[in-house]
Amino acid sequence: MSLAAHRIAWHQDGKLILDGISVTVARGGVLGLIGPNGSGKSSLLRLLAGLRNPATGSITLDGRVLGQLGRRQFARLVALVEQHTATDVDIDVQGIVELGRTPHCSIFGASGHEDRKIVERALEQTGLTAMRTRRWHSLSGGERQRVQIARALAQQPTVLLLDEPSNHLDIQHQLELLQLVRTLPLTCVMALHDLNLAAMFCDQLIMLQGGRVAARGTPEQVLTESQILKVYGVKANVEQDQGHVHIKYRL
Amino acid sequence: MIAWQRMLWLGAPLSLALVIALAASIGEMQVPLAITFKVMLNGAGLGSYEIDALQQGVIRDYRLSRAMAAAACGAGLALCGAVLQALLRNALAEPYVLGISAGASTGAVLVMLLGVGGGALGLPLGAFLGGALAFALVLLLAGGRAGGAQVILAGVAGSQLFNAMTAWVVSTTANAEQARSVMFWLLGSLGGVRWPDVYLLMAVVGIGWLLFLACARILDAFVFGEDAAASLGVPVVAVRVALFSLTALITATLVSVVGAIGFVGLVVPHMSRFMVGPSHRSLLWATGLLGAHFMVLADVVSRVIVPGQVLPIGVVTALAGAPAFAVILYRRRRTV
Repeated sequence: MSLAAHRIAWHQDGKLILDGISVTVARGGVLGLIGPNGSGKSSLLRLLAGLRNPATGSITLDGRVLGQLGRRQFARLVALVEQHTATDVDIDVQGIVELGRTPHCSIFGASGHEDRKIVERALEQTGLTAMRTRRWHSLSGGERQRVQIARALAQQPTVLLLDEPSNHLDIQHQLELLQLVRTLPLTCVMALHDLNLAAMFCDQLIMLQGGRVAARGTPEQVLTESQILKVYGVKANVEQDQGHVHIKYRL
Repeated sequence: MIAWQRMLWLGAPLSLALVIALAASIGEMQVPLAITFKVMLNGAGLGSYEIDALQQGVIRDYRLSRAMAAAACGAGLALCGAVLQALLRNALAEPYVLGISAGASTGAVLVMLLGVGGGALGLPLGAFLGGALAFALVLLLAGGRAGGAQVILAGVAGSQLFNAMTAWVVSTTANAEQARSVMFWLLGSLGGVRWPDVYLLMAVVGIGWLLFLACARILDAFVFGEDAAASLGVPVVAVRVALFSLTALITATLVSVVGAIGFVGLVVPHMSRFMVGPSHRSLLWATGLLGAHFMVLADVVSRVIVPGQVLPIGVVTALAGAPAFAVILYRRRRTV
């Protein structure tokens, strides 16, 4: 199963956000999208999730263009966890995770035995089994992210898209959450701000700048001192530490 | 499912029948409940009891039709409110607040007083066109950002505009007698309802209810917004157009028969959510049944609260609904 963007361009309010980007997400592994604010990370994810249509270029899943695939079919294969999720509705954790079964259920179809088992597994994988009756508004930021990931898992996708999943979390929860994502048997694409976390948890990186790809490859290939200076305008020392790239910033 | 909830599901249709019977018994001519039940069983073809012709006539031709119409309107308005609240993600959304009822009133008045459409346009169709136009205008004014207060403000503007147009048409074309009866109808009146109206209301609300139920999962998927729904495989634009049209159609049918009745669509879904939770698979059942109860009882109140006089039912629902509106507004202010 491979998700790919072919030279896609996208405008918002007359401003060019994505300028001819091509991405191929190979099966398995974690692909990180990095880049400064406004470089197009979130927009690229939203286009890959099929929420917006590219102005030019196309998104394909296993060679089939998104428009031909149908929303429901696509939602069974690709799940998205957005950066900000909010609701006024007094819904509980289990209710949210059950939403993940939406693309798999027929109109009048009640949740079957199989659906319940999948929801149970998603709760288990994310460590939420004991929290199933907690209400959304009583959850912390990290718990909310985990619930949304559990919902995405209940979709049983082959590709999971995550937009800044560790944003607003303390370091312990950041590491826990990214560790969880890392261990999922899925292809993941996630936008990340923190370059050290990106180096720790991603197999491949794409560095964006102004809606274009500035660099792509393994963390060692992308996160070089000259590349960081060029894209972020920040001086840094890049070291190898226990097999990971480690970045120290300088003023 | 918890035991008391199961009891509720079994009991709700029975208690609705009881409330309707009660409503049909109460009035200037009090009729014992047992006789009302016998008339109801006769009417449903389940019995052939001997009943005084006058009592049978009053109950069957005036009160039962009125109570059944109230039940259908209550269910319909409450369901429209629940669906609009889910789609617009706004706790204050309902047909009256969003100006759909006002637009439907204008459409109905244009057909009724000016004969717009030259008879080809029936009252319900005129009301539907008015309601749909008002709703489209309100959504346009809200600018797609339907989540926030914007859509409510747009609804206020829309209501004002269409109420002004209605008042204009009524005051420039109707004679005093017509004007009085139109204004009374605009505030919501179940007085003139006859059996053919009841059949129309029950058919529209019944079919609407089934279609809404078919969309229960889809409505659930809107809980985190349109993009989240889309990423769950919901065809958002098609669903919005279809369900908005359906709510406009139901509201317009109700308005064309009983006038614009406010706040039922606001209060009842919130009460229902409190009772059965936010999942639309149970919420839509609860909302329809509770709405029917609410409206039948509101009609009883409107008939007995001032001796010898019938208040417009819209006055009663507004007296119950406006405080509820204020409470919801206040609680939202706290959470936002």
